[in-house]
Amino acid sequence: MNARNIAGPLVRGSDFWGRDRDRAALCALLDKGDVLLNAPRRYGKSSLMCSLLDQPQPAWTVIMLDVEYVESPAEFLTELSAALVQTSAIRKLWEKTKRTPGAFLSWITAGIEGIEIGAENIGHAKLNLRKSLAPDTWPELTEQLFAELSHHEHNLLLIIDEFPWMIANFIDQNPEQAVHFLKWFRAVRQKTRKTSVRTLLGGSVNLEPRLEELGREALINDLQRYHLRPLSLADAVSFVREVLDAEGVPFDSETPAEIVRVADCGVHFFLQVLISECLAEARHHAGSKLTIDLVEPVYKERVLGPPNRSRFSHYHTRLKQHYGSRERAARIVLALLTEQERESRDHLAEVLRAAGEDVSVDGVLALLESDYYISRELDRVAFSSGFLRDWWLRNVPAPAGAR
Amino acid sequence: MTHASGPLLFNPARASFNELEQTFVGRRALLDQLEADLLADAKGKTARHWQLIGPRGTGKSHFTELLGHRLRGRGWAVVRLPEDHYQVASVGELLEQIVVRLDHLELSPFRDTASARDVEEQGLDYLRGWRKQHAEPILVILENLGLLFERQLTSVREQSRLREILMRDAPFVLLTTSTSYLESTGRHAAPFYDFFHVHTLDELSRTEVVNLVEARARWDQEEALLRDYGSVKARLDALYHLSGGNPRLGLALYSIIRQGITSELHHQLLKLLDDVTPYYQARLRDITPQMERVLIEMALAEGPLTPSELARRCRMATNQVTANVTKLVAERLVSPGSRPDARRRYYQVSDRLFRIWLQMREDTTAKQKLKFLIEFFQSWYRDSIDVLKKDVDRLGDAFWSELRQGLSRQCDDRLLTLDYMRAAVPEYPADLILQSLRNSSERPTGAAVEEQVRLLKPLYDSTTDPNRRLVIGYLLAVAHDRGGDSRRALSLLKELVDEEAGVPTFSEVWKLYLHTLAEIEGPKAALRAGAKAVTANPKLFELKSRLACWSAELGRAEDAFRLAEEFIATSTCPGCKTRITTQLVLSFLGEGKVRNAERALGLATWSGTDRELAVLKMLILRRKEGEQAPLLSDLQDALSLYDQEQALPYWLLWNAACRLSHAPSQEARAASLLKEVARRDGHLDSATLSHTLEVLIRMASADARPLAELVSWLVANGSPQQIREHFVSEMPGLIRRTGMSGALRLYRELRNAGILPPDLAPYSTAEVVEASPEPTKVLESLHPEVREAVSLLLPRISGVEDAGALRSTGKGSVGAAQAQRTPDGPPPGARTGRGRAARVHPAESRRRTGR
Repeated sequence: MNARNIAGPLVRGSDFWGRDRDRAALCALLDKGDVLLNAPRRYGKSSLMCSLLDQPQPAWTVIMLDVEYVESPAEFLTELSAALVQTSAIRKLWEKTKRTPGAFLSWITAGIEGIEIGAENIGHAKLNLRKSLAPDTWPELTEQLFAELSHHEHNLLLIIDEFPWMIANFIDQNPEQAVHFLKWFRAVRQKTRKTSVRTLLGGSVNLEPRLEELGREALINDLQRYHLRPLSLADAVSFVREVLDAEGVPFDSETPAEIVRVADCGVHFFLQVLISECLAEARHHAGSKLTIDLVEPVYKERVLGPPNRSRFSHYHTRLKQHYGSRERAARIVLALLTEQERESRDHLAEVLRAAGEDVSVDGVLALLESDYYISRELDRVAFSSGFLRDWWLRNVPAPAGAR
Repeated sequence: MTHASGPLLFNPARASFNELEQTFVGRRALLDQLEADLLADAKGKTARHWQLIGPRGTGKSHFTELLGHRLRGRGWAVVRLPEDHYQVASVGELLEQIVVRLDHLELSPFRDTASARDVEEQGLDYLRGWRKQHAEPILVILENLGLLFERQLTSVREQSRLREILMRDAPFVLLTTSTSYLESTGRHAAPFYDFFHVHTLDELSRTEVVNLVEARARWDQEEALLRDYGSVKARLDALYHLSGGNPRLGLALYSIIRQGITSELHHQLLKLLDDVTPYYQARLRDITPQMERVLIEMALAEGPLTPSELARRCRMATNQVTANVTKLVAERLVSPGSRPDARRRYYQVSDRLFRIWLQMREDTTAKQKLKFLIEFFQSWYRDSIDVLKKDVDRLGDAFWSELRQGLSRQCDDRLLTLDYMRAAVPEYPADLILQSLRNSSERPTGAAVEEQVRLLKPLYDSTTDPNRRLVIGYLLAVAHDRGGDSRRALSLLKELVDEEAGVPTFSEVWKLYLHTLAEIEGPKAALRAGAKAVTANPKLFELKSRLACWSAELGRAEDAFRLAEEFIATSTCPGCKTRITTQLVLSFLGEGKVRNAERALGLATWSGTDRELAVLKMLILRRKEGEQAPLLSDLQDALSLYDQEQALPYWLLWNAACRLSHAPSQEARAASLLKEVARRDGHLDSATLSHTLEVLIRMASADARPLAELVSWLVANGSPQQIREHFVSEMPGLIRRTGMSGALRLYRELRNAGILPPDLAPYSTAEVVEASPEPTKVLESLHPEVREAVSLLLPRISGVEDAGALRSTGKGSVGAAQAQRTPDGPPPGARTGRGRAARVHPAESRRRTGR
């Protein structure tokens, strides 16, 4: 079965396509240690993590949980434990050792006692665990949990999606406790580094700025970073062709290449939004054939225009929300890049100076690059994708002094 | 039999699968696609959740309901949550609602759980257990996602948790609907950012609207409509023009094709607007005051506007307006409008219902009348005045039918709808609406005239809207008049014409007023009042035709010609010009002014039939030859030009009926003509009744056989009170004038028919005298006044054989005057004892000239 055009939601199974290199690279990193996988929403990060769950590497047990809604370390412990007990290998391991003294095993055993664990009663187990969890015991219990996990005979991968969101929740509730958790969690990682337990932390928000605010960016320094990259343009064409085949709408043989040419990028999500709009247009107006001449007008009118404005408007609004004193400088840089496809770092610095911006150009560029706005090749700076450049040109007015 | 539920009341949740399928139009490809996607997802690992976006009335509920039916047929369980989400303030409660509805439980199994978060876990366990047990996929339909996320499930934690549940191994698939894109799914930092797989329901195309109406008509088994669907299609443009592609509005307007214009339409639209008020209010709260200002101006505009025109209307700078328009477009509240001028950008409010709602909110007059409906009627009746006439007649009939049933509220609605039609189609004379109401076959006649007054009076007193008050007042005045109370009619009409300022001009009200005035105070008074009115209000120029006739009858020939010429110069109706020519000819002939009659004949190009012209010329010619009045043989000659009475022009019919009712041995023909007059009038008016009484007395005197038949006809067509009053007041004059001896026999016939009382003097006295062994002696013994009256009834006993000698003769006599009754009114002096016989209602006059 071919990949269907699923723009946005998590894709699994045959709908997951074209990430073999990312999978391989990620697995290679995980062999060495824990990883922080960071990418903007809709870049396919969760789908990639799910693929590790659905098709694990040989001899790996994979547990995955989404912790965006988790608000305290105690809740994290409960969720993690509940996820683990659903894995029969782990459950068997704990049943074998349940007579061994230890607060964690007592707690978990009492929680699941009398419950035949399955998807339909894990909630019941969670309620029991929640009720029997004494305040402030989470550090001790969680430490013991990880110690128990190290006895697992296979490699164990814990995928914790939206980890930065959880930490942000902790910080919002109690910054001291958040720091305490992060310190403790780093210590646990250091202890388990030599064991077969690995953690893959996923996140769509950048955790570092929040930690910088607290002066605690070092707490995640040990994590290896992995950035999702777009498809190459050649792979993008194959991807589009496969998606169109799966959708069952007839199309010109050149249409996939045209879609990639017009979008000028290999980001799955951008391509899929364009495909989705083209398919809707073809089905509705053009006798169900996706012809080559349909692509560019749809791109300009619908993808870049009002129908999808809100879908991408965060590129515009996040500068205001997160860039602080560097917002105007960032806008000037991006406005210049809409006019000139590539600019030198020095020219940009000159323009910022002329515009009265007393900021470090490298700081601004680093921020924009880490947020996927731009890419840098040596001295040359450009938008990270033609799509983003077009969107910016169409939807964001240049700040005064940008030109 | 047609299906009972109307399309405006169409509730998808109550419709059958068949109805949903068969009336589903324009979205079938999308529905099939979504169904296929859901079935495919259920087999694979990717679990998508869905959001269907479309403004109010675009068919989201129909879509989801039908999808639900289809999936049930494929072994799915389908749960539809209530739209208001009142019971949901947490993810736990949302799951609880799903559980309760999934298993049709009366009580929640988690009702004893205090913590919503605990209910979360219990709900998930329940649903997962259910899935395991039943192996059926579950589809949860959740309408108004915006309401859920923006009012109920507002916290990030709750939304994050729901997202987590849905994202991996969700026990159900969620299909949501919303009226627009939501901030909670469009904001990058929001948990549900771009989470749902979105489909938008665009407005239907013109062809799809046509198909929708056809599908609906098929379902409603509107065979007549479908047989003639080709011609209906031509009129659907009007429907599309107003509803756009909004199916709900389209269906609302379809009811017009189906049932014609109904008064329910106004109320149902108002209800629809009430229902959507909270939603639209919320939409307005979400935009800035400047955006709102621009939006309202667009809603109130007659069509799409350019930013520069908007800037002028809003008194804002164009760049400010452009910026606001851009934001409104982004919010999907505004869309580029369709105007042929491609060089300029036009914009309009995209949601039709929102536009109507704004109009109603902003425009105070729109509260009374929805601009939308007026616009619709304008399109609907464009080039279809005949259809309008038919609809007006139908509404007129419904008005009377409901009035008889005491349904005053519905009557008021009918008048409101008629008012819409009048406002929408200015070229359709407002007077025709009054005529239609007055001439409705449903209007009570005969004995029910009193009932008419009784029913109309409270309606008139309770109506505050000036337009409707004028219409009801007019109908009440007509009823008073027909009931014989012309003074009351006059007083009411005076009130109406005095109140008329500021409301549409109804010439009909003025005509009736002037005629009643002429009857009571004489034609001079009417001429004076009429002249003042036409000077003050040029729209009343139609009155000039009647004023010209009165002038002619008062010997003011030059005034008559001036007024007639002014009328002819103003009127655009060729038939009307011919009618005034005829009226004026007859008026002058009535006065013996043959030359003026001849001159009048040349006033306007004759647009009537050759036969009508020949009749007029024949009458003029005979007068020219020295006749004082047309001879009976002339009339017979004139009548003989027509094969059937139904073909006679009204004025000739009336003229002949009057003349023949005075002529000996012509009773049968006269009766036949009078019946035709009453048939065409739709009722028996005073003048016709007077002539009928004369024919009856002649028949009674001649012992003619058709007497009983004519009495029966009279009783069936006139009100007892009306007949009784006419009999009492007019019979003495008739006896004197005709010298006929049949009055006592006629009295007995009418008494036996229950119309006249058994002790009516002097008839009962005459019977006593007649029955006594010595009638002469008894007669002699009576009081002189009584004796005189009884003597007239018993000529053979009293020896007053030449009662006819008492009859008036010459110009201005009753008989002559009645015979000269012109289409638009009587000549001077043409009044019976009660002064009503010769008066003709304005509308009757129009019909009497064959209009």
